[in-house]
Amino acid sequence: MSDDRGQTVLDFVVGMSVFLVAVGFTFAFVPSLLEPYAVGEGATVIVAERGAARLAESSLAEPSFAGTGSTATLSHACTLAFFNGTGPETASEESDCAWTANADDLHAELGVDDLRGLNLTVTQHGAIAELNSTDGSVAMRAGPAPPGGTSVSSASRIVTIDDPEDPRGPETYRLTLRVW
Amino acid sequence: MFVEHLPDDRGQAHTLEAFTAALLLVTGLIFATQATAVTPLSASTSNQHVENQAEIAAQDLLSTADASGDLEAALLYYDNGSFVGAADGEGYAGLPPESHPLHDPLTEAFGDRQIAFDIDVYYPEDGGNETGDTPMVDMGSPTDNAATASVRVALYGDDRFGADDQHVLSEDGPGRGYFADPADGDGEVLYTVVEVRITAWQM
Repeated sequence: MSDDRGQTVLDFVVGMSVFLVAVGFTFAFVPSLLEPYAVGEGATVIVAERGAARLAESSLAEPSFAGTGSTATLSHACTLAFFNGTGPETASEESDCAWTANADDLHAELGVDDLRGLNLTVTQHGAIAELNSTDGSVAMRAGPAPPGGTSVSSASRIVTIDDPEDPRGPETYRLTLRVW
Repeated sequence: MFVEHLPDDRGQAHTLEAFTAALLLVTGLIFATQATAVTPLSASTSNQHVENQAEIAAQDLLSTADASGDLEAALLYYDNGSFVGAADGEGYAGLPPESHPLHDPLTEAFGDRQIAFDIDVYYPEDGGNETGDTPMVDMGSPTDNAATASVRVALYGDDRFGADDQHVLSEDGPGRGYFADPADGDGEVLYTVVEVRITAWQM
């Protein structure tokens, strides 16, 4: 090796570290680029959308409208019975409701594995809505609050509920199902 | 890089090469983020789930308002050449006023969520040979990721319209400047059938 080269060792250290930092950054960044295409989360999105559709279009729907397509008009009697813990047989006999398990067992009603978390809320202007009846009012919510730190998928439907005691006519609510 | 050339008189090439290599890698990354449509860094307006939810909300709103009669009431809330409270022939520029039958549903579906929407009403003209349209809500031009939903509503000759329901469609409709003329004849039984279309998009 001849002796007339300049700063080879220092130059090599600086050069290699710049290069390695750039390689490291690139490899750390590429996986996050592919995140939107990851399929893992797709399942919970589908469960949320199908679950919300089942609740709005058949389980809680007005029996006279059920099966007529995408109507999201809920039955006051069936929704009240669903959230206040009435048994499925009683609800089916009294109001011709289509659901087979009430809000205490959302997993059974939606046919979802117990390992998944489910949370159902019916809100109006962002606050949980209450349904009035002669036996007092019932808050329309079911399931535990979603844990922090996990990825939660949610799907919403716009629904109306017509309280027969209320002269104002059908009220509009937002039904939201969260799945994690 | 490590091959020795004799006689060796090179100097300070490694740093320059490293910066060139780093520049190449980063340029590659920037190109990749620009070339793909959906990345974690791009706005969520192009997210398919968001688009689906807007479409479902619009469809739900139309079907529930149709079932409860609010949609027909909204179409008949028309007086003196415009929807009540809107500028002449232009429709509402934002959420309709509180007296409007669709105020509450629209607030729940879109207003609270920063979703912009247009509502247009299409009706037959010239005995069914042409289609006219009038805006009910006009919030501007939709983006590329807008979702639409529509429903048809029948208006009957004895329906009443106006700010206080003071006019009858088949008698006063054409004379009082109702947006649609009778589809056929004088429209005493069936006045016309209109299509209500909602276009919703993330702002």
